[in-house]
Amino acid sequence: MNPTFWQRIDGLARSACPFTITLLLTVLFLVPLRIPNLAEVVPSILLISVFYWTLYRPDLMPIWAVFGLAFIHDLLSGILLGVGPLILLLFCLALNGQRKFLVGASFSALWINFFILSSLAFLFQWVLIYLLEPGIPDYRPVIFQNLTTVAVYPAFSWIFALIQRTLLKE
Amino acid sequence: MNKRIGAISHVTTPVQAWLHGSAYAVLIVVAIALIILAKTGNVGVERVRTAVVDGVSPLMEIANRPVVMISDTIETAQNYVALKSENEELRRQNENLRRWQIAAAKLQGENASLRGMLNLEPTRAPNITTAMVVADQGGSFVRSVVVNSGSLDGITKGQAAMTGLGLAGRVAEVGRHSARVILLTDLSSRIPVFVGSSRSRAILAGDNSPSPSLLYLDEGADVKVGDAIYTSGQGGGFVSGLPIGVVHSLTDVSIKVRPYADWGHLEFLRLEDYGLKQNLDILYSDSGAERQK
Repeated sequence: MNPTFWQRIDGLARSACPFTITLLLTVLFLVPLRIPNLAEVVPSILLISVFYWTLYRPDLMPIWAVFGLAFIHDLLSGILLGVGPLILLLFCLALNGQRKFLVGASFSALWINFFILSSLAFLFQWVLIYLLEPGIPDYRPVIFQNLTTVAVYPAFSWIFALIQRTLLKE
Repeated sequence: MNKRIGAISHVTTPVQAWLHGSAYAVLIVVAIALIILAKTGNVGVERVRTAVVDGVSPLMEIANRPVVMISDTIETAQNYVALKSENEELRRQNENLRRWQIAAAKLQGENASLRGMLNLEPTRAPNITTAMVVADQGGSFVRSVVVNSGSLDGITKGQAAMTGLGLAGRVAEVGRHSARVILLTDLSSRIPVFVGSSRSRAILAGDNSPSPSLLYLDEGADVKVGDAIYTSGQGGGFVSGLPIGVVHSLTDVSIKVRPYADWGHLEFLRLEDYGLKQNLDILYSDSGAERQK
């Protein structure tokens, strides 16, 4: 009836897009694909998505949203609650520290930067789990998960760019 | 006018920056508080976790359907291709198994008569629920899965989760129609076991790798590669005698076990209830032990 009302709903739905898509992908990535040994090294879609949106549309991926996404991922994956949010917040802090350098950077520079930041995130998470849980966690799947995450980064950043161009035009 | 706007933005920018910075600080403190709450086994954390998993598991079940369909189709096609060679292999295995069946029947009779002589309580048949795995391990730091049965289906904390071949893990959290199973390869998994026919005691400890290791093995125990590992039932967490796997490698520093469960194909789990919940209640709560009596 009131066009401004629907426009507002439309605008809201569009601006909730990065959060909703990340949430959906997080859930979908937990679906068992029945491919042996994939689940342990399945790429961390959260890292890719948070990296992309924090860089290009920080207004649509505020840190409370990052916290919320990591919180839900922790609840669903069964890892010790709180570890994911802590790592992801530090990841965002480090990312924001380099914002000036990264905004105008070439794709390969972004990719290398993502590799460094995600490696640090995985390393820090391993150390945290080592300190909090009994025994020494196996490091091999952690390295592989980092590599698969870095490997699929270009594909997902292309998808996110497509979403940004089509749905979030200003 | 311009000057005025400039003045306002000059005031708000540091305030905004400060708010942004303090939001980081607050959320990091919240995250650390969450870790402490989760680590101390807070009941609220478990409730929130089961509620969220309960809410999402129907969605996962739907998302699972096309995967099941595709993988079943591929499997059927593969079966057709390998039909002849598989048939021969199965025939050979069948013969072998028949021999074992005769041996097992003989041992079963012997076991029953010996138990009768000793007046041992007959072993109870468990209540079995078969559940589908709807959520996989979410990454490289944890080894647990979510199944689509919960308290409404009679699932309780501590039940043994079996694959067709052996023990896979234990039920750790139960929602209304979903439950989380911690696999025996998880970093936090500790299971009292017997090793080999000598029944030496040890603890099977997971480290997130596919082959958990044996800790605190009885002194002077003679362990060989190929020795069978099964639950000892000590501590009351599991019944005695559930098959787990075999000793797979022996070094000076560690004894690795290869579980019978196939981690690559965890599609269904058999949740077995041996009525041990009471024992676990005592184990889980320090003060509860007195109350149970």
